[in-house]
Amino acid sequence: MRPVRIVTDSTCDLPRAVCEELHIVVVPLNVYFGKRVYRDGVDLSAEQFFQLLAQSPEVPKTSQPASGLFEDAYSQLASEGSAIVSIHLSAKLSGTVRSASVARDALRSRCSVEVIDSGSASLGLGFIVMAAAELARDGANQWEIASHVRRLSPNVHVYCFVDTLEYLQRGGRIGRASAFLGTLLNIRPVLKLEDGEVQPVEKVRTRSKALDSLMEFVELFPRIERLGLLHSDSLADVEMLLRRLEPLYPREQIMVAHYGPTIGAHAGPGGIGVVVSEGVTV
Amino acid sequence: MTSGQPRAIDRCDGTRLLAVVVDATELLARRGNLIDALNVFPVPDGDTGTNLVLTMRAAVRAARASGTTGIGATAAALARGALLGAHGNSGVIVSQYLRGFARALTGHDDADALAFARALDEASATAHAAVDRPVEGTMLTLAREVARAAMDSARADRSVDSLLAAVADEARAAVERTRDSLPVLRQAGVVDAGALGLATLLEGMSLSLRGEPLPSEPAQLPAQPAALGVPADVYSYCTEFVINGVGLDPSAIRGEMRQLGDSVLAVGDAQLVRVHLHTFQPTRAIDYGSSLGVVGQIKVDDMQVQNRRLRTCGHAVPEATRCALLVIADGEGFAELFRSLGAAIVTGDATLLDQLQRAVRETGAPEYVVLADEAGLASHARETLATAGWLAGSGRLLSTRDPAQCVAAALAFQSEHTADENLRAMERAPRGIRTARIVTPAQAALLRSTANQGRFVGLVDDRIEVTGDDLVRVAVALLTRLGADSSEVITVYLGRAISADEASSVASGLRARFPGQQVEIIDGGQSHGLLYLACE
Repeated sequence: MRPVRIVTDSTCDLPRAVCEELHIVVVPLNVYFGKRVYRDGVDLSAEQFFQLLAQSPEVPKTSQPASGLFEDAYSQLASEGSAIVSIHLSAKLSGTVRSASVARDALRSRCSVEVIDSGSASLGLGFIVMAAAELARDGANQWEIASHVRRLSPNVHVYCFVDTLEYLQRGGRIGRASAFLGTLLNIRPVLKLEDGEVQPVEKVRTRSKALDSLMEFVELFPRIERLGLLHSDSLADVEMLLRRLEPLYPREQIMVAHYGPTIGAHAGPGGIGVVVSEGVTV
Repeated sequence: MTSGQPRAIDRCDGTRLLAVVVDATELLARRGNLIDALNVFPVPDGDTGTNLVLTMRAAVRAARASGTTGIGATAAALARGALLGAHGNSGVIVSQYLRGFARALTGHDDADALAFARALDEASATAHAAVDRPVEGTMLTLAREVARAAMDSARADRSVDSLLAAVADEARAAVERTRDSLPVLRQAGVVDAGALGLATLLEGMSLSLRGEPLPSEPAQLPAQPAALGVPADVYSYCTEFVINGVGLDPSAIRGEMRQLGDSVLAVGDAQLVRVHLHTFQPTRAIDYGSSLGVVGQIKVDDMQVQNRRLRTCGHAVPEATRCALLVIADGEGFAELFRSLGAAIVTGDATLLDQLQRAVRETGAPEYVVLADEAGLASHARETLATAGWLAGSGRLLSTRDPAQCVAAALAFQSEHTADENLRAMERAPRGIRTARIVTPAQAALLRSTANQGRFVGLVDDRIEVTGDDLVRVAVALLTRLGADSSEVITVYLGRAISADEASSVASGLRARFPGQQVEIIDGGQSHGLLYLACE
């Protein structure tokens, strides 16, 4: 049986060490500041991105990877004798899945690629990718992995707040959270990813209430397989949340990650998120 | 940047058709708001985009469920799904378009370019036939022009992708031409919303077939067309229903409906007919339907209300609202603020009940919460509501101490929750904030609190805490007492009696004194109380 390799894109926000350990191939999206193009995670780290965001007068834009990048990645893995499961950012948020599908179709005769829309983003995608890579490591075949991923996706939840809806709106990713626009007060919108898109949860006015809201969300789950914490640049809040999450889940196993440049370009500064994977239940 | 290698596609089967229709529906959804905003004809009710998306989603669902792979069977499933799930005038027309398309392909496993072109022609003819009095410059015109372009392309080039590319090009040009063909569109300076909808579907199919990315929308939404009003003599209720029966005759039904209104559509077959019309007598239309069979999926929209909503909110179709929020607000600034949080505003005067009735009708929500503060809600209002039975059934009343707490409660409101769920969350919300107010000595006297010194009286929970002649000092002292130094956000609501000078000294004074807090100054315009202060 052919071994299986997992391909994803840079919006998975997984730490590099995790990708290396699990042999995950990450194809970068592009981030633009004015005319400068950066490959997410290749020529621009999360830290550099948030520095640029604070300094640059330009508003960052993003674009999906060229399908040629996927063709290269798939061809390389296929030449090593692997089958491929390629798992990506929600198709409602990006054309990345389409780009990957074009590459798959172009290489149809030479590579066996299963392209999957995770319906998620950031570490939500990251957790799904990790689960797939662990199955691949343990010898599961392409079909088993794809099937597991499809059952897992609906059980991975991303819940977050942002400082302002401006970035989501400007990038056209605001989805139903547009209901929160136009409020005459400054609000801190709490959002979730559901059905592959951004959905409104509640309007709060303070950061501490937004953090409470994230805590209440995590407390809802009787069973947590993986827990992650995402932030743009707010280490103090991360530390505080870690302390509060400790009773729910072993602190050293909580994955803390930066929003990467692509996700950061749409979330903006000051955001915090939690990601809960319930694992596969059915 | 990521266009696929162009490769000729000679035949299209059902699986491929469904795949491209799925993508086309996605493109339509991305453009839905834009299409809504353009909707000025036949009635500017601002829902064409939404209706088309709902219709196409129903079509896709049915085709997916059918599990067919032949193009004839898939097209038939799409058409049936669209007919059952059609929303609005444009949705019904598109369902007929699909029906004609399917009929031309009956029994086909796949279609080459010529068969595809013939099907588009049949689609156009069927859509025309369904409309009572076809008007040029709409999606019907576009359908006809596109069919002609398709036929030309099929004769010159045998590939389906070239055909769809030609169709998309022609559709784009035809959309532009609608701008000049209808006076109402020219006046509004827009293209026809329905034509843009159909063109979007065809463009999406073409992009999808060639594996090209769908453009992300929305670009700028046009601002002007929403300003058009519905003429008062236009048939006022957009009425839709389906009749399930035996031996139904769509054209006879159409004839009957024409007696009752206009924009009449009655389409379907002997077992199922979908009816759409604009009329002042929706019940008579529905009664007639009931005389022929079982009537279902009844939807009656007051177009005057939709249009009003479009002009005030820029979007006619609200999310599914289970519960409405009605706020008894004191002050124009507060009214604006509550409106921006999705509330309808009523004033607590003698016409309260009338206002509430109207507000409930316009929101169309089955349940509602009335929110008021103790100052705004005179006790007679509460009694009025209680005696009129307003608080017994689907309505709930929540009153808070002051309007700053009302704001906290309104932030917790969610229109998709029930009235009771909302009441629970809204009762809890004000506990997270601490509030105070500054009033004149005369207002303080009304509260049976006596203040001896100073023009400004600072109260926490109706208890006098600070008095003085310097507004900023009194405000700072009150805020300090509320624990503002350890809070994140300070909100100040300025009353009607506050002058511009006073307002700016309050803003600068508080920002200087509380540099670590976000200080927000809102012009509340309230008559009760000079300033409301809130810390959270």
